Amino acid sequence: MRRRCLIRSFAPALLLAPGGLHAQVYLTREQAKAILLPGPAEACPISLSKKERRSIEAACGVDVPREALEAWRSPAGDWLLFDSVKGRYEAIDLAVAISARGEVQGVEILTYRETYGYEVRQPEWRRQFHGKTVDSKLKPGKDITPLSGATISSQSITRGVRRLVQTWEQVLRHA
Amino acid sequence: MTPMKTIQRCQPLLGTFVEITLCGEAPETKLQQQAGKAFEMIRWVQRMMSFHDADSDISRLNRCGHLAPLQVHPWTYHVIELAAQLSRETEGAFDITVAPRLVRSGLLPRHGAYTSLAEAGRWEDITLHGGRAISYRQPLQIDLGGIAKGFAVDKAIEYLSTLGLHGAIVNAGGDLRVLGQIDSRVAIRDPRDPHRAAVPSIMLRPALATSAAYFVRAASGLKKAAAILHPRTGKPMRSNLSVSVFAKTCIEADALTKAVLLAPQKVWNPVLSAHDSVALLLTAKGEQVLFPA
Repeated sequence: MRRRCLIRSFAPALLLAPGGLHAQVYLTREQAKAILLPGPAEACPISLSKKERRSIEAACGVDVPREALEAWRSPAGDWLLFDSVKGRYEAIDLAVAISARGEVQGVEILTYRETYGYEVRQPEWRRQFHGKTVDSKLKPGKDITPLSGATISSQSITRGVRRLVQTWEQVLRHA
Repeated sequence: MTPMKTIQRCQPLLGTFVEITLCGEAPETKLQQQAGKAFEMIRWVQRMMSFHDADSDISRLNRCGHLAPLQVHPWTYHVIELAAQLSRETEGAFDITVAPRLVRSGLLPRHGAYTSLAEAGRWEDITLHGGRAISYRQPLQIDLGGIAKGFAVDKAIEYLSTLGLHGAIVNAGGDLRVLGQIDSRVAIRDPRDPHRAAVPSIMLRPALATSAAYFVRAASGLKKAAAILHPRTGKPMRSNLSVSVFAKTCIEADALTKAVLLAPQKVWNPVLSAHDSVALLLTAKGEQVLFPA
């Protein structure tokens, strides 16, 4: 009986363990800031009231689950916002630059987590290449194995950007 | 000797995640700038050839290409020219005029009531004129979704090749091309379990593209949905097969995957060799077959 209880309480961990979670980190927040909002800027953390969230949701048709957003603002009134959206299975962190006139200036993916990808980093998996490699000269730093497959849609990002543009429209432009 | 640096960036473009990896001796900020310009090339291709954007060359053609020849950007002209050539070579298995059916199934947007959804048109109805002008013999809806991604990757690589980098990879949601001294290994999603498993391979040519139906079906929630349709029957491609094509350019790789998926083997075999390409088929049973063997 006791054993069964133990199994039950660890079951979620067991389910998660074998797949492994791989997070591909493209840019840190500092790097994203250097690219999307170079120059002086001050941190302007945003806190959305319940009423504001409701009104953003109504205007763009996308849920606003978080009330706090990390944001930076340049003296010229340009914004850099950090947010995350739910991809098919996992969260994707993104940075979006919005100009003082409310136009999207750039979108960068910061991290992309997905259940797939873990095995590619495993030594046993990589060993399958041995003897096959035509010309494996490269790679200073880290191993890079590009991944090919049917196209994954980036619609979740489009919705996330729409939500931030609406957040600018309703909240930030009056800030 | 200056140490080699590698950077990796990712932006949502062409309806998918475009990843650019650069490897070079320049300072990191310089590499970031160069990656930014490569993304810019891809954004230009998107602006010209997107079906979703009502201002693109493609949307202009789809609105009034049947009324008079329209001049398009040389890049758009080049892509449509190659698409027509591949349609001819594959006896119509690759066809960019299947858009009306995709609009009906909700996979592509409809731009107002003025766009015709007549399904009678075929690739033969596209006429290429001198001076980069294109016209339709009857109202048509073309969609470059099966070929423009590869072209965008080629354009980004073309730009990056002028920078003296050590190596680069541009990967537009699975359509990718490598440049220079970069790792020649690649992973291909296993069609039996696309989210978790991958099949290791090596880059047999600089460019690689993969086509399969697994993600569209999952995204739309419809069992029968697939973004790849048979041009003759209009039936969605439903097999669990995944087709990867290695080619010299990504535009060829991208388009040829559809030809291999849809045409009979006796048709696509000579086309593959004419384009100096290699196809790798992954079947639902886990077999890997290489053509030409």
